[in-house]
Amino acid sequence: MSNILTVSGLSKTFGGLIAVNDVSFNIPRGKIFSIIGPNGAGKSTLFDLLTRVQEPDTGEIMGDSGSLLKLPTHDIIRHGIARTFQHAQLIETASVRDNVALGRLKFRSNQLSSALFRTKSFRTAQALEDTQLNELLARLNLAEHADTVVSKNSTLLRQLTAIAMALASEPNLLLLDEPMGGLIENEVQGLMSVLRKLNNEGLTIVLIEHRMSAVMSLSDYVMVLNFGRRIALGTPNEIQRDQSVIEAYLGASDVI
Amino acid sequence: MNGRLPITLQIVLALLLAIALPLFFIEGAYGRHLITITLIFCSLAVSLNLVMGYAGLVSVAHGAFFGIGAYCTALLTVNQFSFITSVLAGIVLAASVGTLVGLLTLRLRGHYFALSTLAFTMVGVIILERWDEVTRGARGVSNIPRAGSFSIAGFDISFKEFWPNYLLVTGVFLLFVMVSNLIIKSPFGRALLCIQRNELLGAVYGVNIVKVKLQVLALSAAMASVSGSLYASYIAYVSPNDATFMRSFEAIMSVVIGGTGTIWGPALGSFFIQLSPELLRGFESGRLLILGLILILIVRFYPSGLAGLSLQLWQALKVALLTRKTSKEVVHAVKDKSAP
Repeated sequence: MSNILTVSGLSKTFGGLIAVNDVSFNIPRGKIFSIIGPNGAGKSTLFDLLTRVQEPDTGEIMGDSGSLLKLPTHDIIRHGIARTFQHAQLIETASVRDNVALGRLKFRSNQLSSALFRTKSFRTAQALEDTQLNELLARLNLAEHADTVVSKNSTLLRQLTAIAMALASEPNLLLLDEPMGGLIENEVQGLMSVLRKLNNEGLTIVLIEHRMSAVMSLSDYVMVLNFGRRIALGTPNEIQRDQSVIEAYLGASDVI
Repeated sequence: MNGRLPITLQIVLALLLAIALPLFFIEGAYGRHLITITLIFCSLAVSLNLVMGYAGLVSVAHGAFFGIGAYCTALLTVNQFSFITSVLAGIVLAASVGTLVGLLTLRLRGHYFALSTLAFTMVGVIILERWDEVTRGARGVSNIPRAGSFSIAGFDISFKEFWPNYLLVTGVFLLFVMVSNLIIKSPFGRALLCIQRNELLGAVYGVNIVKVKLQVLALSAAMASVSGSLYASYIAYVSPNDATFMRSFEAIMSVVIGGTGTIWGPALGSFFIQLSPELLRGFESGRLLILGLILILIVRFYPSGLAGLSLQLWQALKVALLTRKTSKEVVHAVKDKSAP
């Protein structure tokens, strides 16, 4: 089984705070890999390091085409890695469709010249993009909300918009930062089935999430972080029985 | 698009309106002068809107970019170079300076960007005043020749006459509107939106923020320079006063009053700003006070400016005529439609 991402010895400090401390793991291709841990454990910082938003102090991140650390932030998406942010970062004043279209930017020349001289290839690309966006919006049940302004939408719609934006870039690896935050139970169920379907189609997913029931039922592997350190890595079953995890995070079994 | 006219039609209508104004509505040499000048400042405002309205960068350097074009045309044409050469020189110089300003202010946003571009403009004025051998200092450059003349099918067309010059000025303005419109409806426009609203999201989704910022600043500076060239050849005299931050502020006010980030707003705002001395003639020194008050009211209550206001009025009219609703229902329907 090949790994889509190999992370070794990754560390990041902010001033005196060690956000990520010598963390190593592999993300197996085609699996759902979850990262859990208390607030401030370094989960989101880890995503920032993987997508080159932050520069690690030490460590290495190897993707399919070599070290990611050689790439600028805006090239990560072209290597098939797409992410969402905690609380769904979107262009608040734009419509759902225009937000999702951001995911297609990597397929389009965003050269100034191609904007000014609408060549045939520009028009073909535009037409292709329109049909693909419509398909994607329909798939995530966003079609009827396509023209609504995202700032006025519900948490679920915003999360789906963020996920659709990521999917529009046709990623091999999807990083989701707390996609279920603020959702009610049947919305969580709906989102879980969306993620399962995407995974069945071959998409590798890394999930940061606090909803333990969702994490344990979706994931193939779970990694637990605490104060920036990896304290456990294994299948959901192994993690739920791990004594150090129970002490540091899961605590009383009511969260499971 | 909720029923708005296609952009080509809008441009044709604007062209017809521009031709109709001096034909039917404006009389006398002074009126013709006013409208020519106003259209030149319309193109300056449109160029500023590209960075201010779409990329969210409030540039106070556009007075200086305007000055670059004006001085290039002034100094080159008095030395027997052709008008077109001077325009191209201005474009190249302004685009390079725009890129330089971009490089120096890359990490700055909001007020910090505005303040550093203000500082840049003040340096520009000092250069114009002190580099006497080249710029002729505070005296300025006078006797700048008009754009020249050419012949088509036996007709001699000279830009010294009102109509050729007026059509040239109108053409440049409408070209700039078209360029802005092409840009915002392209992936490059989406990249600009990311710079305005969420650079992080843009970067993660593949926007090379640095490159896009520099490109838009260079393009916008080049456009501002072209309006400066038109101005110099029309007025026939330029001085350091034409490149100060007051010119930038005038352009910023035009964009804000007209409607930041709208296609026609900057032009509406320019008309308002340029014609306000005429409209407020009775108030003398109270004019600036009234302008300031209007600016505050618009920023506070009407961020979409005159363009947003006229669009709402137009929609209200349509709704009222087509559906015969009560006034309350009309207000409601229009509010829903024109949400950002």
